[in-house]
Amino acid sequence: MKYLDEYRDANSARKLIDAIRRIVTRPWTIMEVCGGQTHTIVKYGLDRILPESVELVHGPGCPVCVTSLETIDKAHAIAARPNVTFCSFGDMLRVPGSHGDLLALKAQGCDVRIVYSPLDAVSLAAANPNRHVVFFAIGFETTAPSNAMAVWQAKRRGLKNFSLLVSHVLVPPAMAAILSAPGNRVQGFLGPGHDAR
Amino acid sequence: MCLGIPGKVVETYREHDVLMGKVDFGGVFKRVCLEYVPQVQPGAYVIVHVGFALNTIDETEAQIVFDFLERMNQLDELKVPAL
Repeated sequence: MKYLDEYRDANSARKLIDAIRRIVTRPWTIMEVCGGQTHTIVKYGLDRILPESVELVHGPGCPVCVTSLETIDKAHAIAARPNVTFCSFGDMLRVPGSHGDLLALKAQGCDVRIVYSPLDAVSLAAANPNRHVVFFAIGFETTAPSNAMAVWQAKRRGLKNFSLLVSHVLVPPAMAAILSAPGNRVQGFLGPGHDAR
Repeated sequence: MCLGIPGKVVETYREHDVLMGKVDFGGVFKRVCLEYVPQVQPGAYVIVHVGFALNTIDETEAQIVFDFLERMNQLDELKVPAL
């Protein structure tokens, strides 16, 4: 399969590993930031075929992974209210809280919806003036401007039935905290998503 | 939601004073906010994250990234129906 086989070609992988082995002259500790990277590294055993002097440390994960249980439980409490239409991105609705995930609430009859864009949540509010639409606004730096645009547009359209449950996180302060921690061994990062492209 | 997905801008329009566009993701059309790439014209390729174009991208790279994401089954968010 094009572009997939190339990445899973054992000979190519071996050549790259050999090349890394040739240039590594001292131990390296590298943290991958994204949970998707961790998943791939562990699933395909990349950590085991790298030279022993290269150590991969699992990083904090994405905004979906790092959303606190407390925030998810808040989302559940809000979504369970009868006058609320609760919406977020699909993967967020699958993250378990103390009492199951948001899709389970939907199965129980609560009005929980998957949206593609924060602006879709604004459209939902405009189309349903009798419902209070709450958008679960999670994200890194890349998602915050999109959530901000939803707020800006809701205000411009004079919507009174649109709210956000906000859980934004910043990556650089987390990296700085790790790098400046006493006893830190991390010397480099594999950036997430767009950064890693 | 972590990924940016490349697509081709088919048309641009204003909706509630916001610059929007119809973007083609391999035959799936989505309504995308273009406010953060205001110079973009129909025919251009953009990288889209949660319904917002974050940057422009050249056609060759767009195709490579899109094909790769498709084969990694990472395009499920495109299946969320428009409202």
